[in-house]
Amino acid sequence: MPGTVYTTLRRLEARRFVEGRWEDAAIAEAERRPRRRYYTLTPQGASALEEAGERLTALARGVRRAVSGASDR
Amino acid sequence: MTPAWPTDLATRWSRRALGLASRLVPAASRTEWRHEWDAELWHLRRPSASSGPLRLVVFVLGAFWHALWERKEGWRLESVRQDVRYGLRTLVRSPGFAASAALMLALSIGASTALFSVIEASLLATPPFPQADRLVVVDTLFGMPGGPMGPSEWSYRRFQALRDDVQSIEDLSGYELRTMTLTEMGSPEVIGVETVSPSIFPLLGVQAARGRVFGRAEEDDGTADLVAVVGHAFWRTRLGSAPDVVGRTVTLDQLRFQIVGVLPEGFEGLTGGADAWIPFSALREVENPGALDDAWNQYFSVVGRLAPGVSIETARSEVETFGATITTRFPAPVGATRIVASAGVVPYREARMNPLARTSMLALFAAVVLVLLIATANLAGLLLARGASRQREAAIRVSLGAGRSRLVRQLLTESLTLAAVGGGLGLVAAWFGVGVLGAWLGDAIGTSGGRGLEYLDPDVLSINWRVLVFAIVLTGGVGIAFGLLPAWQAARTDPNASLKSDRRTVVGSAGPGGRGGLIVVQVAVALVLLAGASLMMRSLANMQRVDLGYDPDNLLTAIYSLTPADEQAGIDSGTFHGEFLERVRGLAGVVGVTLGEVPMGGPTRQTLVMGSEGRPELNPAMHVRIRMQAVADGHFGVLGTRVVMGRDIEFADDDRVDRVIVLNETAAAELFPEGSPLGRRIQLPWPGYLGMGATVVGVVADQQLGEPGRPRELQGFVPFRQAPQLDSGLLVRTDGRPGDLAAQVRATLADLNPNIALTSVMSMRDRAAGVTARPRIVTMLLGVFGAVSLFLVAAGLYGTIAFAVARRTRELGLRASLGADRLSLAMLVLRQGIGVTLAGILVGVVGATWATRYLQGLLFGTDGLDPAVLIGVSVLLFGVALLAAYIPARRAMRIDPMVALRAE
Repeated sequence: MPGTVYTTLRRLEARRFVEGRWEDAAIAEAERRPRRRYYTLTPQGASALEEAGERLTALARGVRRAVSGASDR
Repeated sequence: MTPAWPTDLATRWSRRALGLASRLVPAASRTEWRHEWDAELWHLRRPSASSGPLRLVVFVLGAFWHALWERKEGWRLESVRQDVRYGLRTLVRSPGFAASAALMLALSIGASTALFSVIEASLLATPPFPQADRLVVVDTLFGMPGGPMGPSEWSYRRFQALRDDVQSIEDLSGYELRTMTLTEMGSPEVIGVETVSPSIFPLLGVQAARGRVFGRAEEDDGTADLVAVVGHAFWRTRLGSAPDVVGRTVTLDQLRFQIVGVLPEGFEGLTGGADAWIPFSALREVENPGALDDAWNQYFSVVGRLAPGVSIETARSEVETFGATITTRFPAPVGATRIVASAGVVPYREARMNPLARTSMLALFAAVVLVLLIATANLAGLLLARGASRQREAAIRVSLGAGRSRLVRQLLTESLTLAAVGGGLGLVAAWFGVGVLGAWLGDAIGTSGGRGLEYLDPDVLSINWRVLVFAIVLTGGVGIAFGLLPAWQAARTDPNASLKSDRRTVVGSAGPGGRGGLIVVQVAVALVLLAGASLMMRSLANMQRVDLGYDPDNLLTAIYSLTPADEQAGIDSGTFHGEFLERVRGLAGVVGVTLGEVPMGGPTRQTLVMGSEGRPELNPAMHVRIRMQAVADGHFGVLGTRVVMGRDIEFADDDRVDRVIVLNETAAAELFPEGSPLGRRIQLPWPGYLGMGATVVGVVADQQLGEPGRPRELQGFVPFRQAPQLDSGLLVRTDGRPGDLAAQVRATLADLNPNIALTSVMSMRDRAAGVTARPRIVTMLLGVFGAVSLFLVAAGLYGTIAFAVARRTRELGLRASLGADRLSLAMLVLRQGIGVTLAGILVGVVGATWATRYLQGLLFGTDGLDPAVLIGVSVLLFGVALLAAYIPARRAMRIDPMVALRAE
């Protein structure tokens, strides 16, 4: 749902993980459409992403081990 | 050029929905929000996309979701920050109002918080022991068949039986606080020593900081174990924190105890007064070899923990079953065979409380909360007045588009900001005040409660999280309470009426009515406070007027004690006391000297009366108790006690002649209801006093030996040469300041025997002052609260009426110009004040009648609220209110009609 996307984007912005930038008005007008807002990942955001990825991987590993351990017994 | 939006219905409706949703978004971010969602819609409706109606619905819902979220975020941050900033600005703009309001709040919130910390520490906090809620005190109860049962102490034999029989309570442990004389560490000193069962340490979760606590080795096996553990403070101050403390000895009552351990810092035993601990088995040496074997030698209390899964009811019934067997298993001593025994279980938290202290603390807390209530009502009144003069501001804001809810929120934020400033200052005040209060209350209400258990350790009083939460909730509550009425008033502002009409003639919608109600509340609450304070004052006066039965002026008092070891070393206590008396009598400045119980100091001895020639039917099971003391010759002459009948104790009353006794009037009347008691005998359970008994040789006036306010009691006086005692009080009548003689008396005793400590050396006046500290401090605090409330009420009433006069200037001027005379103008104003005051007094009288019943237990010599007190405080309040209303009324009288009308 787009609503949750935007609230998430706002939160990410507040934590400076992403940076929003309005598109040049001229381009939008030339194409006769509303201005777009482009979001880019900041270095902070990238490292946070990295960390989150590692955490999830570790979690998955742990869960897998627990599950296989349980089935062994 | 604007975007080329598709013109189909779905897009048009979606854009309309976006417009609606954007209204929810705070204005500051509304444009950007709209842009972004427009872009989103554009993307959704691009020709290449095939989006069905469902996707559009989801899109619109998402937009609303995000808009609401933005609104919530905005509220949280921006508008609150704005309101607070605006609130602070308005407060800074009227510094006088802000300062006095903040001060008033700081003092009342600070006082409430400090008192709450005391309540928290004594009534609410969990004691610092593991599973403290499962700790119980096991009582042993005695009484007459069919009569009330009273808690008593355990003997070691009975305690052993309890421990063997009862399974539902674990770690059953005895404890008892005694004083012992510490020697061979500088000058002799009396310290507090707890005699305990080894299991008390695991029960309380206390482990040794060094060495060990008592264990199986110290369970009584018929021999004496002279071992001790010492407290952390003792180790630090007396042993210089020596690392090799374990194995050293400490000499108590002339016995050498080997130190086996040091307890952790801050632990002072269940009684809160211990410097050192010894096991019960040591009593075989400290007292006598059979000290633990007599089933009726009872002197200690018992605690334990409910076994896992056992309810207190189960434990209670098991203990009661045990209690019923006591008298059959341990036959009562001769003459007391009709005694019935039982046992009971009380939760530790309940058992340790001292009811008088609880009432005192709750009364003080209630009083301080009432003061806070008055302060709150007062502030509400002030803010209402301010609100009325800020009506134009409110009206302008409303007409500029501020929602009413926004207005209310802003005013509430303002009052909360003010409350927060006051509460913050109050917390700081409480932070500093709590230490002082702890020391004070320690003196005032004592820290030792039922069964000798400590219930309040003034050292640990602090602003902990619970107190903090209380202060924050209180501050918030107060802020909302005094902000609500003005906010409600503002919400009802009609911008048209306010802006059109002239500011001075607007009559506030919640004007005089709301403020009148506030005054009624303040007057009523103040009356309750004043009634309570005056009751306590009257009670205190009664207490201080009590005839003590002796002359407390120029009387030096002290306590000292020989030890059983001294006796074993061949010192005869009678000879020793006599020698000491003679030496003190020889000191310059001594008018007279005697031995005996130090009033309000001890040592206190109660004993059963076994029989009386004046009442043949009297037997020990009737539990007639008499307070006994061994005194020197000329005792009543030295103390200034009136001899009603017969004679004083004389020097010739020694162990070569028959035992004699002097009774007080209450004892004489109780034991010899008919005829003169002189020459007749009573029986006492003391060596030499059973059988032949003691002959009554005199009757004296009753003495007040305990705290004033205790009921009359039977008192008996015997010569110390006939009834030798190890410990005694020394009473010295001086011809100058009693304190000046203290050093000389001390030196005299040291000269006679350097191992005996003279303790509790004090003038009788100071001692009496210490005993009446609780009522004095409680009364003083209540008096201060009453005075503060009176002041606040006067200020509140003055403010309200002065404000009303200022607003009615034109009306009053008009009346004056139309011929109203000055007196009737003044009456017009006064009547307003008198009306609300009378209403407040009426409510207050009802409230005081109800509230002061709770003070009953603290009162002495007065049964509670009487009409005189009620009328007195009502008149006082009315007078103050009249004065407060008179000042603005005088201003109303002086209004110059021309000036008033021209001012428009």
